Amino acid sequence: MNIAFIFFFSSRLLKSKYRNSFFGIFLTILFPILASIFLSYIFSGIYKQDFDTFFLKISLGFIPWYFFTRTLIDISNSLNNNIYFIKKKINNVYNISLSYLLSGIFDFLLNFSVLIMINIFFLDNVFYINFFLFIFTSLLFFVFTYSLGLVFSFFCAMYKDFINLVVFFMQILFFLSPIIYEIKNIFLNLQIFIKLNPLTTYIEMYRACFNLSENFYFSDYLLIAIITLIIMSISLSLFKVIKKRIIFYL
Amino acid sequence: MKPVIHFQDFSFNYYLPDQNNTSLKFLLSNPFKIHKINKLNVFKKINLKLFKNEKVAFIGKNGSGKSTLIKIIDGVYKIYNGSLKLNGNIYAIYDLGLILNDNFDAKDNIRIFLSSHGYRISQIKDLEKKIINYCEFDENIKKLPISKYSSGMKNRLILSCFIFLKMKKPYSLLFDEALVYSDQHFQKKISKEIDKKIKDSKLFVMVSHNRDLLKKYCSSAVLFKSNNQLVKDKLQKILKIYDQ
Repeated sequence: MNIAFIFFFSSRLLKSKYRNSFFGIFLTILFPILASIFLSYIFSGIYKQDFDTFFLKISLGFIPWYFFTRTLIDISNSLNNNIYFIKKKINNVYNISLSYLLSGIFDFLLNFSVLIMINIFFLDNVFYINFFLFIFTSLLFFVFTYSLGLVFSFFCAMYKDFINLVVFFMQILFFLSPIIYEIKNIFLNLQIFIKLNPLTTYIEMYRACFNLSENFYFSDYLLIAIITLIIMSISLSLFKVIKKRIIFYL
Repeated sequence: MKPVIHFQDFSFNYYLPDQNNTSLKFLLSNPFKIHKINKLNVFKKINLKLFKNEKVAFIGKNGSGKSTLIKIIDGVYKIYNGSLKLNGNIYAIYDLGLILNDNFDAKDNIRIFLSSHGYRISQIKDLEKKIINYCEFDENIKKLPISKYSSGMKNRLILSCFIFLKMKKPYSLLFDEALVYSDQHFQKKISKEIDKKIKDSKLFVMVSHNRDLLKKYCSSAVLFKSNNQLVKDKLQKILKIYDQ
């Protein structure tokens, strides 16, 4: 791991997002919050729930989904978009994908900070944050996103239009994750499919950090930790096997 | 004497993925089938020894494998048969597209370049100003992504980076058409530093079609023949064979 490389590369990614475009700042900081407000207005009426609590619940689903989608797509594209550095040194794959992850984490934490500020200053929610659980959930979630992104980046290098499939599934994932609904409100048969989605557990874990989840159990945490570690081992092993050959695809 | 670079029965193939197999359609219709990859043979059982204090020119027609061999020595291509032994560190200037990122400006490229060579963040911040000043770029040009630069300007940037790079001894220096794009003024400016780097190197290899440069810097040469064979001899002798 090259710390200076990661530092400058992730700074460069953040700079390109924030410095040169007002719209970039708007999209990154406010989009998840504004989208949550918009969805809360519509669905709190439909579900007949209190807006303030419903907004917090939706935000705690939307922000992780937004981070996951954007970072996963960025990491998936990282091999194809940075041929320069990877051809020169294939181990830069780790440094570049980590830089994309760090840039995503920065946005993610910024989104959470804005959410907490809104709750403190504008909403009537009485909430507490379990920081210990938040840190553990986040660490696991970042490893999960990174490992999956690394595997997808190889496929994107080998199959040029694989990224379209990733983008498509990210859209589908929005509806397969309990962001705008709660698991208990859907049909029992469908609940199994929703629970199979790893993002469901992460969203429930984030809600549990704010004491808002009724569906989170310690066994879920253990299971997702095992799944994450398996995906990480697969992606690192895959990298070792194909790293010498991948250069011919770029 | 132990060679600095030693190729022994060395074979290298360029792998070309079948373009029909690189689409999603192929993956979905053949989920368990491995890509068909075409092999293009570049070197077949070549033997080459480059020794300490040699200044070697790589000479040959376009496509004869000179630049590929430089990239193999620099570790870009790692799949080969036979043996390749390297003694000391390798510093190479070749294909600018592989060293610089077109979307980044000069400063970001310098930062990434130096960090790739193991410099710390504080050291990089000190050096980047010196390199930018050495390049003599206008204020406006510094902020542009280098895709807007001419080949000469990119070359100026990368040569400046190399001049400020503290090379870990013992090292071999490889130049692939590294000096041809620079203007007279800049060539004159860097010649002292470049000469010093070459003098300090254990081995110097140059790829160029410019005979004046080859005669200035090299004493021996390797001819890349079309039948995958390499011939090594004195520069003048190789140039005569090449002309025939």
